[in-house]
Amino acid sequence: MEVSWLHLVPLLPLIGAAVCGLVGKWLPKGWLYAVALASVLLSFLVGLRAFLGLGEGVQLFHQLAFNWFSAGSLRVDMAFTFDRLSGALTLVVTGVGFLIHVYSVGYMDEDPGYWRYFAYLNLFIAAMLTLILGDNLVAMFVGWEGVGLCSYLLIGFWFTDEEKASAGRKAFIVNRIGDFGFLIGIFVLFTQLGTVSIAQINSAVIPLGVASLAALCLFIGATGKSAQIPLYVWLPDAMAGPTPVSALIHAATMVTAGVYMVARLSHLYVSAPGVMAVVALVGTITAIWSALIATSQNDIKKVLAYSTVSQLGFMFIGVGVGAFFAGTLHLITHAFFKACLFLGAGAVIHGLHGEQDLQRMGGLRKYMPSTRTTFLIATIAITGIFPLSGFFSKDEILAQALHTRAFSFLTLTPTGSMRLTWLGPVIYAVGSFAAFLTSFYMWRCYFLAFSGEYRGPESVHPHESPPVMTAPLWILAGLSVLGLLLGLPPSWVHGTALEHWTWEHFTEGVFARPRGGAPGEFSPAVGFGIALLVGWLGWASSYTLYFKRGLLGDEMLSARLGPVRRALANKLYVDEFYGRVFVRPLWALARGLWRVVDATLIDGLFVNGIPALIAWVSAMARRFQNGDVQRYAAVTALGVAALLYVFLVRS
Amino acid sequence: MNFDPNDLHGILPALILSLGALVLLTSEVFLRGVRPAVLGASTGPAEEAQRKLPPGSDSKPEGAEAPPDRRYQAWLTAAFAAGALWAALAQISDPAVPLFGGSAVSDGFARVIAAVVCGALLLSSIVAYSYLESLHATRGEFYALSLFSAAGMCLLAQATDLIVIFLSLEVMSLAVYALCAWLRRGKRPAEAAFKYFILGSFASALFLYGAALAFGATGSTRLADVANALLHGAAPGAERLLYAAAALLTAGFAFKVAAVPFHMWVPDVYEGAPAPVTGFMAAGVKAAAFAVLVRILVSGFGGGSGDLILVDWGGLLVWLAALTMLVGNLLAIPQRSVKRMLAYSSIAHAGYLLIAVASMQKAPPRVDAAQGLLFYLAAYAATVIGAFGVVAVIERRLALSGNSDDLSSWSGLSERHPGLAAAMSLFMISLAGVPPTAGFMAKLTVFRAAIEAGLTPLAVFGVLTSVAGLYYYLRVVVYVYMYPSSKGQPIQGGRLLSAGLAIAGCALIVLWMGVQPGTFAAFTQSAANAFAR
Amino acid sequence: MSFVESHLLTLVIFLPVLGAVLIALLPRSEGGQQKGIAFLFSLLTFLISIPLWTGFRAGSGRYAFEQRTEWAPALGFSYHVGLDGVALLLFLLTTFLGPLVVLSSWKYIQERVSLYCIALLLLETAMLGTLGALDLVLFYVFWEAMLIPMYLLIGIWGSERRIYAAVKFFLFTFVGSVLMLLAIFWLWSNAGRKSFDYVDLLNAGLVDPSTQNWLFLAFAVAFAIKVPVWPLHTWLPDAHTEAPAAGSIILAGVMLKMGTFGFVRYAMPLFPQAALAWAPTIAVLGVIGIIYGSLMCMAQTDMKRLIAYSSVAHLGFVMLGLAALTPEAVSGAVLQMVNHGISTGALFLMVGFLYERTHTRDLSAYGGVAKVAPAIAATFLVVTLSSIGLPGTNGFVGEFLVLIGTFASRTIGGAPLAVAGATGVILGAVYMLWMYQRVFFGPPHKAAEHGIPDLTVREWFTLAPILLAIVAIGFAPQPLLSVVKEPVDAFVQRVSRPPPVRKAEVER
Repeated sequence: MEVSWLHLVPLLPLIGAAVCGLVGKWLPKGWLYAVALASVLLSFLVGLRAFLGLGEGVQLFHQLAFNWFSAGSLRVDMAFTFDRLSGALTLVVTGVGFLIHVYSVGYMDEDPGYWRYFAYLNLFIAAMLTLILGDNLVAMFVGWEGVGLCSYLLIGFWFTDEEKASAGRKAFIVNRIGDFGFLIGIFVLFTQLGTVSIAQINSAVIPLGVASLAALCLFIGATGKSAQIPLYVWLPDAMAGPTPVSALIHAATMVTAGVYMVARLSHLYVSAPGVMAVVALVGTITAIWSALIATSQNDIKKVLAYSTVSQLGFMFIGVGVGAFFAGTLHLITHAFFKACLFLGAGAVIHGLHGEQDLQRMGGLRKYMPSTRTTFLIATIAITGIFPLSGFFSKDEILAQALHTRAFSFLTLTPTGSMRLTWLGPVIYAVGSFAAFLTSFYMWRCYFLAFSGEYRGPESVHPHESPPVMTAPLWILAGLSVLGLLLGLPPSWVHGTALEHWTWEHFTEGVFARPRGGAPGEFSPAVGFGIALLVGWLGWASSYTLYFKRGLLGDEMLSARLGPVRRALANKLYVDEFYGRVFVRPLWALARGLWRVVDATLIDGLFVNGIPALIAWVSAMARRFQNGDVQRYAAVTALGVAALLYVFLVRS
Repeated sequence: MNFDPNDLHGILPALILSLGALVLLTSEVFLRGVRPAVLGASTGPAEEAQRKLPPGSDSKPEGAEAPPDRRYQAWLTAAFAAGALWAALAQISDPAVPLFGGSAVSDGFARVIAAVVCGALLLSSIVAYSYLESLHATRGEFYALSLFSAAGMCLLAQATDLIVIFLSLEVMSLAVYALCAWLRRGKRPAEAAFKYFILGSFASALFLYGAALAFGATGSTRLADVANALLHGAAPGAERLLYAAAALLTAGFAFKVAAVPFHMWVPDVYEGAPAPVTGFMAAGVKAAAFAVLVRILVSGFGGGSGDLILVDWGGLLVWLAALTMLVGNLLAIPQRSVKRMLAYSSIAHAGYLLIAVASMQKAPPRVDAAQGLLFYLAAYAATVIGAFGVVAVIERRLALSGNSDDLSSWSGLSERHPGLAAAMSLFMISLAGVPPTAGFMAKLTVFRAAIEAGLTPLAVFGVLTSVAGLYYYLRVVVYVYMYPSSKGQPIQGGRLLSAGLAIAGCALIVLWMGVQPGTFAAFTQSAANAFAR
Repeated sequence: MSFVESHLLTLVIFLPVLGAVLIALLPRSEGGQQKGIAFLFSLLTFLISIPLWTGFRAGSGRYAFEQRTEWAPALGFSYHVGLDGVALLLFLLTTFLGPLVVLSSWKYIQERVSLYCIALLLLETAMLGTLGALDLVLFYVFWEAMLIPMYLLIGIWGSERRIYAAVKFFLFTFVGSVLMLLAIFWLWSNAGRKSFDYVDLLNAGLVDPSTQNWLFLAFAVAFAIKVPVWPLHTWLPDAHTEAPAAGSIILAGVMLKMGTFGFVRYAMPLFPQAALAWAPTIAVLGVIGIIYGSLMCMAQTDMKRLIAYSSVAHLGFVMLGLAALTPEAVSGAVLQMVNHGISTGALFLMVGFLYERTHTRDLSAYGGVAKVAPAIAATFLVVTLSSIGLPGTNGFVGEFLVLIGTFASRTIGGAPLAVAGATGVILGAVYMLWMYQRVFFGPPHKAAEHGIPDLTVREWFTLAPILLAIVAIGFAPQPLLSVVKEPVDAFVQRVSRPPPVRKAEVER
């Protein structure tokens, strides 16, 4: 259904950003907050109204804002699509975004740059909404790069610190590497299908080769934006930004853009089953890889960061195995509890005057009860312990991976031998282990922070944060609980009112079906059992290690498996590796080329060399002109001789 | 030969000039007073006193009897030059008429050359005025000589008979030798004049020998007869004689136009002669000499209409042109004396002009080539006289001390004399052939003709050498504008005015021919039709 | 066509000369009044050039505001000017930058002001003429006339190595153009019409391919040096670095575009077969330019030098787009010309502001400027983003169109080239953000030493139009694209499917 008000959703935050950025410095604080929050809230309300408008009759709202540019056969519109998927995400982004705005009012109050901060935050919301609502890949790319910019600005928000500034730059450039892939993907699709509109792509018949190439390129973009191997390295560093930013951008919304993109282009991806496998595999490896690293981090935000990367891995498993609804479901629930966790961590850091090291925390439950409670709820949610939202969404993914048919007809060899039917179960196994690790490190984090005795310096007096910060915590905690409603298995709620609220049912028909067809009916019971087991195992192991002993747990672990743990603590030396193999050689190449080719070869040899040669020759020739008349006469005579020769002999 | 008084009308410019020369000579008879020390050693307290003066100072020595005021002479000369110029322009579009039974001709080609020469004289006499005055070297003979030489040039352009050519050549040359030696006290002028005279006579001798051979072969000295002899086959063996004649005649004028390898005299002479004279030489002598060269080669030996070639001098001129452009530009690069640099540059320009001559071998492009030649000569005259005018202003201090004008004495000129600086830069740009100047349009006409004549390689070579040229022309601009003033003692004011007038005139012409080439191009086109056969 | 319509273009082209003459007539007082007049006239030029945009209508093959009068019939060329869409955009870009350039040098230029202003104004006329000319000699006259004022700007008001840079600039560009001049003559004498008129020559039919090849090369080299195309680029870093801010702005903003414009207007349409044959080479050189230029930027420590090399990269995109010969790519290339003019011009402008405050261009001397001068930081950021082609700024649309068009191009095997070129998107971010961080981020003590004051009102006025343009074109590039659509399609049509060789040529 064509409407004329959809553009308000991204536009309102944009206006907010403009106001805050241009005149915010001179506005009274209160007004600024009002503008910043109101713009997001209004956008949320518009989104909500639209969402409620979606019904059996109306599949989607669409608005063609204006024709951005068109040349030759290419036509790019600024147009928005608001369907069940993008609608739900709009609500998540604006909703969670609003909460985090509220939280930020408390968190950033003393910072002199608060007006910049809110301008960036609003701008981010606007960009994110463009990404979600854009009805063609280019419009999507606008948001895609826009959120990248905002994350650059917000990570480097305290730019006087070189490290933070560099972290921001790293994030932007790594993202650009991804965007490069995204661009190529767009090019391929345009060249082959002659369109960039998502709707048309999703309805086109795409030959396997084209689909695979395009899907792969776009997925490179996803690995950049959603911090998957090999491009995940920026996300841990991104924690340099203010904690609410980490919550909003680097946990809840932006980093999930990749997952959203894959889900949005589900048709394209199911047309390229090989790439689906790649997506799933990358997700799996990332999930386990970063979960391992997370177990050995002592910076509370780093733990959460790696946890995010790992959770994103799960989401990609979901979309990779063709269970798009599962992946996106986990995206939403994760937005709730991970935002809650980050904000909780923020409250902790706030309460400890900037302390981020788990080793100097402990026993905080006494000092900041509500923070602790909400953090606990969110932890339960993420560790996938029954019955909170994380349990259902994550288990759904794993179950789907186990039973998927997406790879059933994929073969490694052209002859058709060794089908990849085993791939799903493998992913399931690895994923379950990752889930166990998740539970383990999250509980470790919780125990080290809140239980035991306070280990921080005497000078620091932990205190609870103001209600403006705790309120969002509670709401998010509530959402992480309620999220379970979305994840209830259809079979449980069949025929009840709840049925319409389950995500699987709700997104019926939004996603394409994998080539192998959806997995047939399977009883979730077994899966649930294993999931429960895994979750509790994680809790138990970490309880035994950390609940009583606190830090001693780490030491015991180190004693058992020293080198491994040291490697993990050092993030498996990936940054060092990239530095040696890519970054430094590139700069060396640049300097070398400049000195050798530009300065020496082109300029030295030719540009300055030739004139020098001429000057030398002329200096030599000049000697001949020595003012001696006899010589002059002689030369003249020779000239005459030459002329005579030419005229008499030659002709 | 039968003499028809009406023919005098055909050589009106030359007549006016000669008349002027006589008037100025006689004027000198009625004046007396100290003869300026710069014009040669002579004893007496006044001279001693003056010799002690710093060169170029205006104040008169005490107790010296005041020299008579000779300033009117310059203006008189200018007036006569103007008259001759008017005469030339007045006839410019008349039909061509043979004079004195075919030993001379009055056609558009000659008239344009005459116009160029007279214009050159007009401007450089005004330059000379302030120059000589500030050196106390004004004498009527100077102007008389210049007028005589100009008359010789005009006649050269018109002559179609080897004898007439030789006579007018000598009229021109002897006068110019004397002019070069004008400032006798300096060491260089004398040396320069001497060299010029020795080598010049050498060249004249060559020419004369060539003429003799031609006469021997055809029994006539008329170019027309030479052409006929070639066309309808001369006496057996005479052909070879004619070829030899062609070689020698070419050599004779190759010397005058300063084509390599007959160029050796140019730098020394240009440097030694007084700047205004140098300017006049570069403009006038070149114009006249090229005019004759074209006449001899085209009317005499080019003969054939269409693609018929009697004597293949074209191919030779291509090499001559290439060599001249190369050597001229190459040797100009290391020069630090602006005068010497301009000398080499004039060699280079002779090369570009030779391109035009070379393109005249074949009939189709001949008219365009002739037009190019004339346009180029005019543009070059205006530019080079202006340039030497500026040099004259700068040089006056240094002229007597005999040391050349090093570039360093030009640095920061733009701060002391923005006008002079701008003008000089304009002339340099024009010499380099960069728009919007006369020099560019000139290059355009010549190179276009070359392309039309199928001499593309030569043209390519030419433009490449012109890039080398740009380098040393720009260097002057660099010193004038981009280096800070060197202890900037300002040039004496006073008589700057007249020189400034002339320089401004040149600058205007250069710009005008660069921006509105149409009018002058129309002249040259009608004139070039003299070669449309 | 009304009298005004047929003379407006000439008026706009020569108005600056009027200002120059006026300044020359002033008494030699080193005051602001020369700048005042210069500003006034450049502003006036811009204002009366607006009707060119509003009243622009050009059918296929004919030019808007066309005027044709005798100039020098005896020499065979005429005064013939007119605009097509491509020329119009660059034309407006030039008049738009004119007043800003004067403003930018208001404080910095203190001695020999009148000469400076005269040079600026004459330069503007020369550039406008180059864009407006429809007669090859007229074009060449303006083309060469551009060199002299720029040569003076660099040589007189430049920094340490200014003379080397100035001479290098003049000679380098002159070498290229002289051969073009000969090619023009060749066309005159052999293309059948004894005419220098562009339109005539365009309709005269093609000369035989082998000759076309030579003539194309003669033209292409001249333009390639101006662009500059690798490896003919080494004059550019020196010229940009040594020139005063205004000089750099004009160089980057307009003059480089003359090269690319030359390709669109002359080199490729006049010799389509040769152009088609050379297209892949040009594209490859463009890609080399993108990557090589970006790498050069990473090796620089001098801000202006860095930005200068970034021009090499950006114009690499333009060349790539032109060679791709698809409507998307070519329109992108044209748009990219304008964008590069705006954003790189702005970069030099801002570096000029910084230089006026600190008197150094060395990156290591900066740091933490954002703390002491937030407004400079903010504006510089916007410009930087437009330079790295972030969506929403003007930079994106051009680059995107070029790349997507190249990728789709079948005339040249575009896809791999587009992919290679797209790496420039990454590298661009690498060096620009690196520079931005070096200058603006980090502890502010270095900046505090210089005591950098924030933007003044004049500087705001200078910047504001550019910032507006950056955002405006970023969000609404369509008007520009529609203006160039017709000429671009004609260009693509003519070059990718060349018309037949002329009869006379075949018989030869």
